[in-house]
Amino acid sequence: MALTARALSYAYHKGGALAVDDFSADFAQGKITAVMGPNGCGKTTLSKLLVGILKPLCGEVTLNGMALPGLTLAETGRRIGLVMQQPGRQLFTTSVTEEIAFGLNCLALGQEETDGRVAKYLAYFGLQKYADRFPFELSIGEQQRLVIASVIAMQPAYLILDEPTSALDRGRKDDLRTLLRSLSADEDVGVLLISHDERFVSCCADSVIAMEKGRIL
Amino acid sequence: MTKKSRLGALDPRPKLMLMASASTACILANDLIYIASVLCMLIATLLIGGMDVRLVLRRAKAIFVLIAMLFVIQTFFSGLPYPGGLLLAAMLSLRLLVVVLAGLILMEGEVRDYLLALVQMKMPYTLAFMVVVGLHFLPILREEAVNIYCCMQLRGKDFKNMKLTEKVRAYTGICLPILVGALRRADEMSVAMETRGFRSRPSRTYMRQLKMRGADIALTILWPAILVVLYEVECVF
Repeated sequence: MALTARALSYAYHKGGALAVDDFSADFAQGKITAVMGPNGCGKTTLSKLLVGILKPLCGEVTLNGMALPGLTLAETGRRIGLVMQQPGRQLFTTSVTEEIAFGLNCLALGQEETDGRVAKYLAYFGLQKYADRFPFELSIGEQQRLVIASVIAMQPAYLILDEPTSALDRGRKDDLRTLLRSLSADEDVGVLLISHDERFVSCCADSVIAMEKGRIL
Repeated sequence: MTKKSRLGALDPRPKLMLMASASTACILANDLIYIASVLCMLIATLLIGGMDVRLVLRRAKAIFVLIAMLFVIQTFFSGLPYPGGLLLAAMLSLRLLVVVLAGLILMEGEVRDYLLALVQMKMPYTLAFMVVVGLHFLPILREEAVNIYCCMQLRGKDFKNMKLTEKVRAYTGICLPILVGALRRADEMSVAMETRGFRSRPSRTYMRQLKMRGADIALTILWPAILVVLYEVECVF
């Protein structure tokens, strides 16, 4: 199974500068690939192109040889999980438990399986004591952990994390690193890590792609 | 610097007057020919004012589609015998069209000019500022709605294969984070503004003052005058 980007290009405005310019890469399963680069170099745009939120001007994204435009976002989401920046903009339920269970209910898992996964990820991310709290009452760091837990609970084959450590303290970063290593090594999940955190990337990633002005350096 | 259209070069006050008078007249009026006349006048004003028609069509495409749907629904489901339903549908649709097009006139101009205009029209600065900031944040709310819609889909919510009732329930779920986000942003923004000295002085002075020129005065007087004359003519016939 492989997630492949071929000659991807994208511009936000017709005739404007390309945010992503002729980007090609293969993201293998079971590996952690980091994408690094300065602000505005197109990393977040790339993540949105890879899941199909944005449609490329040219080039294509394929998952196991199947082009993404053939899939709805809901179908893509079952295979590729995306954790965006700004966690507050990715929460939409009224309790922490519901937030994690949302995706699992959409996958139509049994109640026992759903409850098991919710309990597992609440515990892993240290969110048990907030289980019944309104997600918007949590701190930014707790919201970030909640979003990551909600996406990982769906157990996608690929995981794209956009600046996942921006609001985490050192201990939580270590936990996340351990989890990502375990997901890639034990469960064969392909992880694409978009980050500025050089220390985290150096400890975590198997390979690094450096970007500048939308292109691979 | 981009070249301003004739409408863009006008003082903001006649544009506010035009928008308010045309919308109010069409909401109060109950006559199809009157509303159609106002619409024709409005389109003529937009065209003479040099408004980019393609831009208007692109920005208000969704609203135009909605108005067309409303026309069809009103025509067939108003329960009135022919041509009553058709006339009612036409009147409602044209009325909405006037309100939308009159609102689009405000696109031609700078936000800070509208703020200045409202203040010079004796609106309290704090209130005028809130109105302008509110307008400024509308595109951001739309962007957030799209973001949450995408997030829900990526977590497996399949909007395309849903029944209408399920869809409505799912869409209401999008409102919660937008509302919470907007309230939180408003809260944070008020603190940020106050820490930067907003309202630290009882009254403000302005380096720039808006001045009405001939074309501005003509538009301010002519539009309401024509609306009244048209109404009187309709009453006579």
